[in-house]
Amino acid sequence: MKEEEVNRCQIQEWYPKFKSVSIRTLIHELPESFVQYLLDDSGPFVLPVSISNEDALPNRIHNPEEEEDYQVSEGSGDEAEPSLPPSFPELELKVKESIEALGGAVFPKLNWSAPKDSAWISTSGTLRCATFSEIALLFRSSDSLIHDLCHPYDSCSDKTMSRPPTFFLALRKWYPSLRPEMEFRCFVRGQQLVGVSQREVTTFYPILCEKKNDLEVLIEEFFNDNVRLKFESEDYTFDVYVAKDERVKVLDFNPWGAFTLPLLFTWEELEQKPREGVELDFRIVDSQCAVRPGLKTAVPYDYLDTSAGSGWDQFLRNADEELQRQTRSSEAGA
Amino acid sequence: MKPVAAKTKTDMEGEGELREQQEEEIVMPQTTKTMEGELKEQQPDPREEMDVTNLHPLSPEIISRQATINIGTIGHVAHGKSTLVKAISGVKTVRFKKELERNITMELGYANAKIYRCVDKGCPRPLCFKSCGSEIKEEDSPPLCDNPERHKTRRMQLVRHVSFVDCPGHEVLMATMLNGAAIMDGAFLVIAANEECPQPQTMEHLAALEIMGLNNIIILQNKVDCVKQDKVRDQYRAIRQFTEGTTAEGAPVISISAQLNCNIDVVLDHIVNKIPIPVRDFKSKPSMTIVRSFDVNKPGAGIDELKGGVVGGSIIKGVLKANEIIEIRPGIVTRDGNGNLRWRPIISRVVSLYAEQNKLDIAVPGGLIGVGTTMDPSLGRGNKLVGHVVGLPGSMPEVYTGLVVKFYLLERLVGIKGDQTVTRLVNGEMLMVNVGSMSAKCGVITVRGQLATLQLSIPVCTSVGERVALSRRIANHWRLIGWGTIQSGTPRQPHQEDESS
Repeated sequence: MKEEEVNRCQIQEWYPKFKSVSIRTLIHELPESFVQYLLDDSGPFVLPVSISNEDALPNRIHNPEEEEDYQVSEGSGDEAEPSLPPSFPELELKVKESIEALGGAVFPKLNWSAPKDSAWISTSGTLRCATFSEIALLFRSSDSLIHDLCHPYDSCSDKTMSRPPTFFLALRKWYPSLRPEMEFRCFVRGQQLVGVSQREVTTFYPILCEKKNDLEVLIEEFFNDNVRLKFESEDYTFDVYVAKDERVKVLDFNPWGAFTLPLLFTWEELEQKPREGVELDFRIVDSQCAVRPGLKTAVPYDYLDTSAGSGWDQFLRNADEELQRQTRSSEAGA
Repeated sequence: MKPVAAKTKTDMEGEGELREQQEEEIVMPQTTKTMEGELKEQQPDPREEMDVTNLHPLSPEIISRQATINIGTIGHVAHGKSTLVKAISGVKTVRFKKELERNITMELGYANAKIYRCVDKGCPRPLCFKSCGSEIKEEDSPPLCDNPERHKTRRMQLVRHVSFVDCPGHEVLMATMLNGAAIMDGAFLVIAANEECPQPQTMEHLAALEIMGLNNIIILQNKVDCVKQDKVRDQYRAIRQFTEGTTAEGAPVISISAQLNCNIDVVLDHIVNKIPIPVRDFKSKPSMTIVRSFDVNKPGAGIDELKGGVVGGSIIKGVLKANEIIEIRPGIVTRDGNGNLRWRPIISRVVSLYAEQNKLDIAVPGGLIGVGTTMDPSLGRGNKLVGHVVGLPGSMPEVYTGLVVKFYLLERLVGIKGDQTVTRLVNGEMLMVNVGSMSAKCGVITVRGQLATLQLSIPVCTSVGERVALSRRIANHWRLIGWGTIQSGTPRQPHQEDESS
């Protein structure tokens, strides 16, 4: 993969060309100070001070009893003072205007990624944002965005930079009722559409079985009419949404391979498809599957990291040692 | 209207696109209102009609439809776990890759299987066992025994219904800890005969079993068709050696070829005879934590064909019955114009219960189940209800938006990689708090000694005394910094709809 292929998939790059077949988006360049705020964790995580007094956290309900019992006598020395929270008045104003222009609520995104993994943190459990403060909260809480901020070119063969010189905040109009089953990832190899996969692959949607053929035609037509000659890479993926009136909208572009999820395919399979004369392989979940646990639960990174030197690794080593010790002592005792 | 024609004018500014919402709002019934009517027709408490005290995890009426025993399959990635599960259940497990790249998530693969035994007591083991997928065939026609000497004429009887949970690495631990979704009653440790043994991952798995106190282990030496007999014997000795002193010591070791369906009946025999029947609480009021929620309607479905929202989870205790009135807490969560949090429980009726494809009349603790309800389907769309609690009205835990937690901070971050001391809590800082399987952010309001007052971003349904985990954003990840127990909190009352907003 080349840096230029990765760069083409940035929303500020592709959106202007595909504006008429995408969802409405307003894009702002981010000041470096905000990028640093997202990355900086030398101090405690506090939200920026809002100039318009908007708070991402719901109001606290004051309860006199609790206050009495648990309110601390200030300056007891038992608590550290929070450091001065940052403020981004200019950006906040611009964002506020854009949100209003987009109808009051947006889906925020950085150059490549949306902070999907921090949906749990918002009151609504979605990425819907109505204020700058909510955007800051989602962005600052997301591990997904760390990819954009620190590792976007990690799988490039010609990697020269660690990050793009500038970051952009894309505000996309919020649609409360987009249906997860109508989103598809399309795989393009040698400028041919070789595969399409259901985007949300954990559930069986009967409608997709019924409509598979129609959807295939719609997406293929859309690709031929609107994408094939306009997107410059040879190999890439793009995500589309098929609306009820059968109109297709492009939602996102991603590089071929590496960090892009192949969903119902594997990258090996896709790589093996011939570059020419290949039939479109359209995949959906085609039978009722068992209920699977969802992805919504956020857990501390330590619960999942099992690599050498991680907490689990250490814990398991200790458990092993303890076990061996016990075995030895029980042998000695016997 | 065809897409080509549509791309002329209306699209120019991206306006006029994706108009599903408005139309749907018209279609959508005012759930709470229509439901009242439906609710009244129901029996006051269907529980009284059915005596659940006689049910147990082997009751034929239960296991004909729902798996009641969970077996974890663990082992190195390429050792043939999914081939084994396919050989037993006929189900190809699809395990979705972790979104390892840009996201931290987890997924478990599931497949259910029924195990039958020949009714002829004289039919020799293990020939008398046979398995098939979980779906109900014709109700009264269990399969015939395969024993060729009996000319395949003997009927078989359903003796177990098991759920296989694919546990790559430590996810089994996570699932147990976080979701309570999969309490393992036994485990298969799969080792490929054509690989060196033990693989490092296999050792880790053994250690994991140890920690979980899992004793009912069956070791399967897979792919014996790929190697010479003496190699199988050598590996058998090696297995005996490395399991010595572990919880798997003395565990049965079975040589199989999942690919060729060889010795699968021996495995079934062991499931029936070596894995004890678990003890489950069927008598308490039911409680289930939601791990999935969906909307299964077709886009634009008319009001008469609209199906209610579906939630999925694993019942922790008690039983759920079709037609029962249930409550989902906190349910509908909103913020009013002043930034105040409001919640309103969803009161609904169970219209369907299912485990995989099987419809259930009654769902018991065991594998994951789906619960079809009468609630507005948009309430469940896109997993909005994950972490919420299902129970019976009148026996639900309270809902809190603020908690006083007695906390303990780790001295340093776990693991040697993050060799960093944990600094104390700071007023106003944002933490992640996991309460049950719900994660919420919280602002720390005040800290005094070991007590912290936490303000939550979402109301949570929990109880005093429950454990919470506290994480802080460090080096671009949420890192565990401590834990605590809920000391107190002021329960928040549900928002009344008629109040002005």
